Parts: sequence; structure tokens; C-alpha cells
Amino acid sequence: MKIPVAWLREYVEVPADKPGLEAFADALTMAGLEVEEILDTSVGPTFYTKVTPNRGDWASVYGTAREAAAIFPALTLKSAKPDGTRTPAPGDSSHPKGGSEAAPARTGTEVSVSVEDPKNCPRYGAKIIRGVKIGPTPDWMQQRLAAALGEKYKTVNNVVDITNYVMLELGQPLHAFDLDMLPGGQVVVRQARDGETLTTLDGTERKLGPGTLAICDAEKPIAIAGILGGGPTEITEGTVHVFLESAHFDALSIRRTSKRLNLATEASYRFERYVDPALVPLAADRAAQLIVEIAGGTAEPGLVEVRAAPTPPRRIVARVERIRKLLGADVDRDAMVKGLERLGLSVERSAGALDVVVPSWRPDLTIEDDIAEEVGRIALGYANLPETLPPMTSGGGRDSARGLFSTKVRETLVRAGLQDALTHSLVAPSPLATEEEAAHRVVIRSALSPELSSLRTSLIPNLLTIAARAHASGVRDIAVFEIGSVYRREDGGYREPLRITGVASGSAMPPEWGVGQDALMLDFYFAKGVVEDLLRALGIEEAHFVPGAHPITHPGRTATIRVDGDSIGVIAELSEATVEAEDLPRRTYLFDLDGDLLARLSGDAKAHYKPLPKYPALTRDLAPVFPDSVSYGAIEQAATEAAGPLLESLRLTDVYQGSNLGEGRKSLTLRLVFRSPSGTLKDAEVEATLTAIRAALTALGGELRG
Amino acid sequence: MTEELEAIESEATRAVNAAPSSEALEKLNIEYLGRNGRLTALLRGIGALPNDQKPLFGQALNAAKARLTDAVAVRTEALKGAERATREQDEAIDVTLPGRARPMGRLHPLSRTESDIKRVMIGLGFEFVDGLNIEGYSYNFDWLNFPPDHPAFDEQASFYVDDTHLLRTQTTAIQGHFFEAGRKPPFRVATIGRCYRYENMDATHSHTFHQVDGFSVAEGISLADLKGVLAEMMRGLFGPEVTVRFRPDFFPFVEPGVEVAVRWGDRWLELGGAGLIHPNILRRAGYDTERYTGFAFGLGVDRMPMRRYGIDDLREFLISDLRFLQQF
Repeated sequence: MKIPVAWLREYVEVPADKPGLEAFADALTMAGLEVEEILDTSVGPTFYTKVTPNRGDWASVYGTAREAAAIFPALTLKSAKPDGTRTPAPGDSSHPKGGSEAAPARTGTEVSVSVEDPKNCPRYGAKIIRGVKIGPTPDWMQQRLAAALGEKYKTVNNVVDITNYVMLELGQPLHAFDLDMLPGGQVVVRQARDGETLTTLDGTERKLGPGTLAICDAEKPIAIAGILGGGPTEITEGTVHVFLESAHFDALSIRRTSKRLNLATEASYRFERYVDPALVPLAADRAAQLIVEIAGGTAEPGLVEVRAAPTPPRRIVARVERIRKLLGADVDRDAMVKGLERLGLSVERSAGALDVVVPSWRPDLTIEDDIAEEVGRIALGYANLPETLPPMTSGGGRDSARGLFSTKVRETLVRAGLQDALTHSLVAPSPLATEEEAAHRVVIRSALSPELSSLRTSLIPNLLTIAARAHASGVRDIAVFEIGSVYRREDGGYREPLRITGVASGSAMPPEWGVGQDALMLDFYFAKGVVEDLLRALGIEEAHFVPGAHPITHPGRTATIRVDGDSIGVIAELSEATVEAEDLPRRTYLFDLDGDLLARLSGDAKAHYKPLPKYPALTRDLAPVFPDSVSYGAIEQAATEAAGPLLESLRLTDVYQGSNLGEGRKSLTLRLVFRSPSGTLKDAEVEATLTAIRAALTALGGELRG
Repeated sequence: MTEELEAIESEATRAVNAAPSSEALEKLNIEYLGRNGRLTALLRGIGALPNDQKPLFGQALNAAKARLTDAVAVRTEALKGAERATREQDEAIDVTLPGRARPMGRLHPLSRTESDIKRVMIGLGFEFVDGLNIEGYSYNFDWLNFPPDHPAFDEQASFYVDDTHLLRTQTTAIQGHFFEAGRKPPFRVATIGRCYRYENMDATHSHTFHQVDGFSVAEGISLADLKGVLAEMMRGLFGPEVTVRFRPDFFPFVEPGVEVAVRWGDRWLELGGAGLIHPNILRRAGYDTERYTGFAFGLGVDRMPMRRYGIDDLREFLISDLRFLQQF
């Protein structure tokens, strides 16, 4: 709320100098009433305060002053009871000289108020002011209203502006009716009936109906209680007699109506945060005083009031030792009492405890812990709260399983040269989603914009967006991954599977001076190497890459990755169509892995120690020539199976395809390393194994020369 | 013959010590010490000596050979050293030419921050658990003591996916799940992750943000304990000089409730909310509130790397432009 400091000064002393004012604001902030900013307005410095949802009593100048007086023991709060001295000094040309002369004759209309719903309206007061002269609002008041309400403020007339002025000053929303528009001077507070409507002050015709507390004349609603008045009874230039409403409405009732009508006003804002019922007569008197002063007329003495039996003030027993234990600070008992009393609580001491009576403006104080908080912030001050360390709990700290797994994946992929990225979960539905994904998509209900209308079903679209942006901005070498959740609606519930997705394009090794100007370009096999690295780091030794398919990838360059018969994901070059549609660089590679499955497989795999070899190895190369139709995987498998236990490793060191081999043929160079755990190998032993391998390769359609 | 030996030795020694190169030295080695070398040749003349002189001359000859062999070895080392020095001088390079970089990946600044936070909190005994982004209404609000129809909801405008599920507005939603599992105090638990609230995107606001939540239930937990633990945590994250500030604030799930800020550099960085777990929640979890108390905090993660790296636009984090990411 915006609180002009000059206005605040009418209730409590506030330093005038800038450093003093800032220190004052800072002290309010540190005690919980945050001054977010000190604004400069036409009425001087103005505090922009944050009213927390539990402290509706801060939503007024007086409430702010009352809190300040509790925070600063030296300050004295002036009474909110009107004494006619608290409006700005005369000398302001628009300031009237006092009202009584202008009072016209009384009309003598009787006024009657009845409340049919005392639960939602426990207190209703009406102040009658007769013979007013409606006119412009004095400048000083307009300026204060403008400073407090900002752009929302538009002057109406003196009487209406006064009701707003008093609401801002004391926190009690008021409404002024033209008494002559109330047939028989009759006002009824009741639930609206089916089909009842009201054209409110903003010119909108609203349907009320049951659930809406209405202020009515003898027949029909004339205002929505606590929210907004109606057009027909508003104060106009012709108004002579004023029916001023000052009432207490139930917070929940106002909140529900405000939500249902989608209508929030300064009045509803306050009522739904609870308004002190004790303000009803006070605010009525204050407004009447200002109306008579400014608009003339005569206020009838007293208040026409309907009041349910007031609820007794709340009492809380707060144990001194418990307060100290909750705070972890030895606050002096007398200091506790003084602090609480400054806050308006009355405190009786009993053995070891404080019996406190909560004032009517503090509905938020209900339990002992609330009293501990008040002691902490007012009597102790959190700046004086010590720092202590509780004893460690057993078991010790540890990361979650998913956390540990994600860290390992991130470290491995970053080491492989990929950039770790994070992207939005809230996205527009992607056209790249597969039908299966789209069928499980989680959609945001009544989304405000397409970009915020669904949850991602895959990390692929977001990563392609990163790649496309990089491409457009001239970044040539792209290697990026994300590990994160995707979201699925399944069987009436939701799942958040973990995915690991990478996109790469450009060079694997950029061109360098002195070692050739051609970059070593990324290809499918570099991408595959990254995935193989990751699997090894996760302790997964056996993975099979088999030709696969995916709607957005190159049909001849896509592999499904299988571990133990499960598909753990896909690795591929993107199809030309995808590259064109997404504005990606040509030759863009993708991998998309099932994180949950990998985590499970990784959990099963244990690193196993092998003793260092004792005996030397023998290395032999074989260079079989095969038709292209025979896959490397089949060749490797045949060679490995034929080799037996002496083969330590088999590595492909070269692939050659040339015209001298003939069309559709390839020559492979296989480097075989043999070793025996029990002795130095002899040539003859290795030769026997090689013969078996040669035979297996020949059987597969290979030719071996030499 | 003894004179001849002396003459040959002194001539050879001179030549060896003056040998200009390894090749020249090798020639001298062969000339004097080789199978047909001049010293070796003297051995063949030994037969001509009287028998009583043979042993003496033999000893003298062997001694001379040994001395010359040593001299050759010394000279070899000296020449090698000199030649290596010359070669290496010729091989000098321009060390100011640029290095050949291997492409390097980097951690996202939020990943890095998250792992820093985890390291510090695990050290403080927190056990991390994972929650889901799509959360049940009852965990996001009811469990956390949000009264139905309370103005606090105005501050929580949320993304609903159906009548009972929404994207969690705070990681604190983990509490109800953990409490339902019925763990006995004492414990320290934490979670870190994404939260969502309807906000217009600008440089300092986003509908998606990251939070770290920690809570503990044990006997005698106090607000001072909370301050102590947060201070330890902040010192672990930002250095030994930082101070932690509490300011009263309101959150339905804590009482007393505070806003936590840390003085880092010359400014306060507001991190989020904290307090003692509201007794309504502890009771619902089945803990005796006279015996057990607890603290809880939920801090914003995004602001930490923003301050650390001077990032002035929060949106960059989830746009993940490569030119942005490669700076960290």
C-alpha cells in the first residue's frame, strides 16, 4: 500500500530528514512491515509497503502508524478518534471554513436498517448527514488520494472521495448512498435472490443471486456488500442527504463473491483480509466529521446500528519457556510483556506463562507460536537472534538416486565436449512430437498463451531450437545436451520420465593452424562414440546398435540402441525434411535416451577389478574384404566368437573402399590383441586362433589375402 | 715399449679431449681401442718382451686402456650435451602462437549452482529426495496449511492440469509426501527443482524458477538453529564473510515465518522464505509438537548465479543460447 509520510505523521512522529526517513522505513521492514520503496509524490515522500495476506490491519495509514509505534518504543500513537484537528492546516484555499453555516433544513426522513444475515454481516452502522453540498474535492485531499491510489484514482465528488479517504486512513471501507434514493429510508442486508441484478458504479450490470451478500432497499439490491455500490443510489450533484454505511462483513463471504464476480476493489481487498469491527463507529464519525467540514450539512448524532453479539476477544496462554525454546533465545520476560503490550495485546502474568488478550485488529494471532513470533520480531528483533547449530542427525547427508545419476551423466557428457543445457518444461505443443507422445501430452487448463499451454513430451524440440538459434547466429560447431524430465499423462495419472538428449553438428575438431585447414567433421560415428562413452561411464558394457527408425531422422542413418533386449533410445542423423523445417545445419545428429532405464541398468552394473596382465600380448592385423551388405557388427561378432579366450581385444583400425576392390566391396583392417593369463603366448598358439577367425570370416563371405 | 705406450696414450688422450664431434670421437675410439686399434696392437708385441717384464707391461697397458676408455666416456657425455643443446636451440618455437583447443563442454550455470548447493547441504547432513513437478493440490496447498479460500492464493496463481493437479508452486510440496511416509525424527531432508507460477516474463521474473527446500524435524529445533544452519549453508556457498539476515514474513506453512537474505558483496540478496514448521503440519504428520519442532526453508536458486556471474536477465537460463552457456 502507498502511505504518504505526511499523512502518517498525523498519527505518529516520523523523521523529516532523508537518512532518518530511510532508517525509519528500514526498521519497519526489519520488523516485518516491508517498505519496498520510498516514492516521491506530489505530497512528498510516500512509503510503498507490502501488506502480507495475514495482516490486513496494515492496509491503512493508521494501521501502519500503529505498527510503527509498536516497533519504536519511543513513539506515541495518536488516537484515531476524530477531534477535528488532523486535517491539513487552513491556508489551503480549497479548505472550507467549517460546515455548520451551510446546513439546510432537515427533511426528517426516518432511517431503518435490518440485517437478515448476521453471520456475514455482524455489524452494520449508518450515519446520516443531512443538507450537504456536493462539490469538488479539496486539492489537498485529491493529492493525498492520488498519492495513495496512484493511477486508479479518479476524483468523483467531495463525499465519495471522503469515503475513500477514510478507508485509506483507517482501513474501514465505507459507502455513501443518496438517502433520497432509498424509499422509506429503508436498508436491508441480505443474500441476493435468484435473478436479482444490479448495475454497479462502473456501469456494468451484474447478476447477483444467492451467495452474494447484498445491501438492498425495501425491494431490490442497491450495492454488493463490501465490494461495490450501485448506480441508482450513488452520490450525485443533486444529493442533499447522505446515508453513510460503515459495516463489518465476513472475510470469506466477500472473498468468494469477489472471486465469483471477478470483481476486486479497494473495499473487497480489505474486507477479505479482515477489517477490525471496532472501526465501524470510528470510521463513520471520522467521515461524518470530514463531510460536515468540507461539504457542509449536519451529521445526526449517533449511529443507526445493527449489531450481533460481539465475539469475546481471543485469549492465548503463551509459556515463557516455550517461547524461548522456539526462538532459541533467552528473551527477558519483562521485555516480552512490554513488546506485546506495545502491539496492543494485554498481558497478564501467571506462573511461567503469559495470558494474552488479542486486540480486535489481530485475527492472525491464534496460537502460542504466533505470540513467539511477535516476541521475536518486536521484543527481541531478529538481528539479535543468535545462530546455533542443532546436533547432526544420524544417517548423514546424501544425494537422491536420480541426483547422483544425473551428475554422472552431466560430468561424462561435458567431458565428451557437449554443452549442458536446461530448457523450459512449459512449451507450446511441438509439431515434432510423435503420435504416441502427443497422445500422452499433459495440457495446462485454461492456458493464457500457446507457449504456456502444455508440458514437454520430449527434450528433442527444445534442443533443436537451441541448435537452430546457434546456426542462425553463426555458431558452426554445436554439441549440446539436456538431462531432464518430460511429462506424460498415463492411466489417469502423471509420470515424469527422465530423458537424456543430445544434438550435435559441425566439426568434431575445428580446423587448426599448422595441422591442416580442414575441420574434422562430426558424423554418425562421433555421436555414437559419445553415447558409447556414456554407457561405459555408467558401467553398461554390452549395447547393441541396430538399424532403427524415427519420424524425424534419416531412414538410412538411424540406430536403436539395445541393452539386454530393452531399447534404451535412438541415435541418428536428422532427416533432410527435419533439417529444412527446423532451419538446422545440414548433417545434424541426435541421440535421445531413456534416463530411467539407464539409471536402472547402471545400478545393476558393478565395476569389476581385473589384475594387471603378467605376460606380454601379441598383436596381429587381419584385412578381410567383404561385400558392403555384410555389416561390421556381424563381422566383429563372427571374429570374436571364433577367437576363443585368447583374444583380449579387437579393434577396427581402418575401412577402405576403392575401385581396385571392385564395386560394393570394403576392406577392413582388424587389429587383434591376444594374451594368455597363464604364460607368454607362442606364435603357434596365436596362429591356431587366427586360422579359426579366418575360417569364420570366410564363412561370412569375406576374402582374406596373404 | 713402455715409452711407446706412454706416447700413444698421451697422444690419444689429447685427441679424445679435443674431439670436435661424436663421429670424430667414435673414430678415435676405433683407432686406439678397437680390435685393430693401436693400444690393442701393443698387446700383440708383448711376446717380444722378456718374461719378467710381461706382467708389468700388461698391467700398464690395461691401466692405460682403462684411462682412455674413461676419457672417451667423459668426452662422449660432453659432446652429447653440447649437441643436444644446439639441437634444442634450433627447435625453439614461438610460444605465443595460439594453443590448439580441444572442444570443451561446460555445465549450465544452474547445474553448477545446484551441485554447489547439494555439496554444501549434504555436508550439513541433508538427505536429498526428488519430487514431481506435477503435484497434487493437497500436497501443494492443504498439507502446507493453506486455508481454503485465503488471500494467500492470490500470490500463488498457478498452472492447473486438472481439478486436483497443478504444477507445483513451491518445492515445499515435498513435505507432505515425506511426512506421509512416516519417518521418525530426527531428520534433515532437502529437495531441489523447478516451480511454476503465473508471472509475466521479464528480466527478473519467470513463470518457471528453481527452488531448494530443506526441512528438519528433531527435538528442540529453534529459530536460532534455522539461522545457524542457513548461515553455515550460505558461508559454504558464498564464502566465510557473508552474513544472514532474518526479517519477519508470512508463509502459511511456517510460524514464525521469516524472509532470508544474505549479505554478499555490498548488497543484500533476498533468497526466500523460512521458519519453524507450523504446528498444524507437524500434528498432521503425527509428531508430538511438545516434543518435536522443525524448521523449513525454501530458497530461490536462480538469483545465486545471477549475482555470482552478473547475469542481468533471468530468461537466459532456460533459453540456453550456446553463446550464453559457453561463458561459464
